[in-house]
Amino acid sequence: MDVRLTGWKAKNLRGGLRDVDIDLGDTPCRWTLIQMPNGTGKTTTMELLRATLNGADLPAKAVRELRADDIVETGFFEARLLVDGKPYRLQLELDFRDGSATTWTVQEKERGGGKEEGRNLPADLRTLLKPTLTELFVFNGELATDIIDLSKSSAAGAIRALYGLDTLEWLTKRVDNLVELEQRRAAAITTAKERKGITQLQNAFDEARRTNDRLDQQQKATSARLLELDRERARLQDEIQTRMSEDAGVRAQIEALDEKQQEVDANTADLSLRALEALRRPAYVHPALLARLQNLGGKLYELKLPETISREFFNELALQDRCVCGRPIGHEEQHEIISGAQRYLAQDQISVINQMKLALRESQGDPEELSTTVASLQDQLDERRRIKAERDRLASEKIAEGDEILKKLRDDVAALSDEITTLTNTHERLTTKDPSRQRALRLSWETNQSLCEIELKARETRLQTATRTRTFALQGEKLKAIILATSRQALDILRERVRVSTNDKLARIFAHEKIEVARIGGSLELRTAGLGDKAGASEGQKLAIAYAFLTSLLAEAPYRLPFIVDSPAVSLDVANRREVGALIPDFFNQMIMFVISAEREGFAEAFYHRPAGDVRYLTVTPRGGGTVDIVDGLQAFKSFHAREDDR
Amino acid sequence: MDAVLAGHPDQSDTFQRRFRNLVELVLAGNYQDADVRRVMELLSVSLEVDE
Repeated sequence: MDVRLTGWKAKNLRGGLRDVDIDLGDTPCRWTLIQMPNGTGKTTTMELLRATLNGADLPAKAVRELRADDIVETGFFEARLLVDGKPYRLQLELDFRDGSATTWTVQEKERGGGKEEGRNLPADLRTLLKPTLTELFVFNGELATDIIDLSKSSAAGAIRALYGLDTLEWLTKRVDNLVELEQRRAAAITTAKERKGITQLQNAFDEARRTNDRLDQQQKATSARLLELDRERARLQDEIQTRMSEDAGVRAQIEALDEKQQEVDANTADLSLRALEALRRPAYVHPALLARLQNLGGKLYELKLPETISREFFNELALQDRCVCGRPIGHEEQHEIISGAQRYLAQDQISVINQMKLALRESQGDPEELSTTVASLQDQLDERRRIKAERDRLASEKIAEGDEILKKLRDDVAALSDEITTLTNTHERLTTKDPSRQRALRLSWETNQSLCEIELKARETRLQTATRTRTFALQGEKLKAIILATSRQALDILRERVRVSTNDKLARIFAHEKIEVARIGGSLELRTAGLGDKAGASEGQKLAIAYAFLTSLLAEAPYRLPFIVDSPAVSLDVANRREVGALIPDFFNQMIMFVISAEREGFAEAFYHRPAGDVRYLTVTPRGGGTVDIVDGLQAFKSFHAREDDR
Repeated sequence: MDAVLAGHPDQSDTFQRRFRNLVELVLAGNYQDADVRRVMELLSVSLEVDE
């Protein structure tokens, strides 16, 4: 896959870029030398080529700094590409007023053309052209020496960028973000996230679970004992009854009391039912309630519902040709009448409401029913107490006559009743779920099962949340370690691959002095074959090595990319320029070089003898007012004389 | 990646498979937080590890 740069265009931009259109043609030459004096926009062009290719956001300040003058309000830059033969135009529209930059992609099709917002290149190319990689092929020649500067890490950085290892390392930041997010979510429940905090929560949970088990055992023991005592008391009461019935005189009285007791029990059941029924019928509850119901019925009766204007009336009207007012009813009127009819009650609804009104108005009943029934019920309960008192009196008389067995039986029943009362209280304390009783009895999670279950659940939730958060954090740490180890290992393998490839190129370049890359650490570490470390290389050698490295690297990219370089030989003496000019060009499929006139000698000269169809020479001349002239051809290139600002 | 994963024999095959897949997605610039989370949650860890 192949990417070529076919030109660029700038409007209203600083330097010489007020109105520039560089057209390299549909099939650009392999080498293009563009001679530009300083101040005519080399650096800005390089920056904008990078910005359009990598799609990174331009800060507002950077946008405003591109402004040609105070008059222009907008600016424009376009890079033209051929991607596998298909043309793409990446455009940047700059608004100097608000500092915004909008990216557009124009992809000319067979007919017409499509302009879409954004950088709509093929997906794999879009991913590849990130800022770190774009800097490698839209390259500042003065930075080439960084690649072999041991104090810097440009070489390793370039490998990371090309192979996406930097992206892999960014993944560790995503992991950190996820862990932080999880911890923030959990913070509402618990702040514990380290082992110590989790141990504390585990201890708290265990404590609540032990308490819950203890309360459960207490409740079971209390219930069982209560059942046992109830049975024992019933047995003793039967025994008392039998004992007393042994006396014929007392037996007759007890039988009379039993008979009365049955009658009272039957009455009590009957009256309870009547009281409940009265409660269900408002008219029977109280005279005031009956009066209010009748009053409501009367008021509703006064608020008459429509008797003739029901929904049916309008539905029938809608079917007529004319309204009751004589106007014709068309299709629209018919629709309006039918939809408006929904606001009126239908006849069946009206009759239901009327029946309710009537029922309310004619509410009848004995309003004293409930109070009379409750009073009768109270009488029966009083009678029950009297029967019990009578039984007690009979027993007391028997005891007074010296019946010690009966006395002991009664004492035993009394003792059992005391114990039952105490246990019932204990049982209530253990089991009550009624919040008002829990407050009245001053119960806590340590004394009440219901409160303990709530506490246990809360502690379990805190423990689970903290454990989950802690586990997630540990998983994050482990994943980061694996990612970084993968990245390190991959970098080692790739460094070696690129080193071998670079040395293959260097073997062809340096025929006399066998300079090679001994190791790629952060930078390239050089050695002379057979002599060990190479302390110093000439500037020309350094550049050649740097470019050999870059081409070896870029050769691994899924796309063959153009190489655009600013001032490739400016820091070299003439001899080294010749060397570099002879060595570098063959590394690249498309190479665009911004040069100044000083680089002609030695460097540009190296191209003069190459086939004419492979090299293109452009000369940019400032015309004043931020505009430039562009002249095509070797003659103009050779004869251009720069002013004093040309180094 | 094989060498790195070989250093973690305690991790499941599912993790190893999903991790490889995640790396591919990351290099293609086409992944979501949910992809990362899923892989993280497949890692077995011991809570007894001291911080």
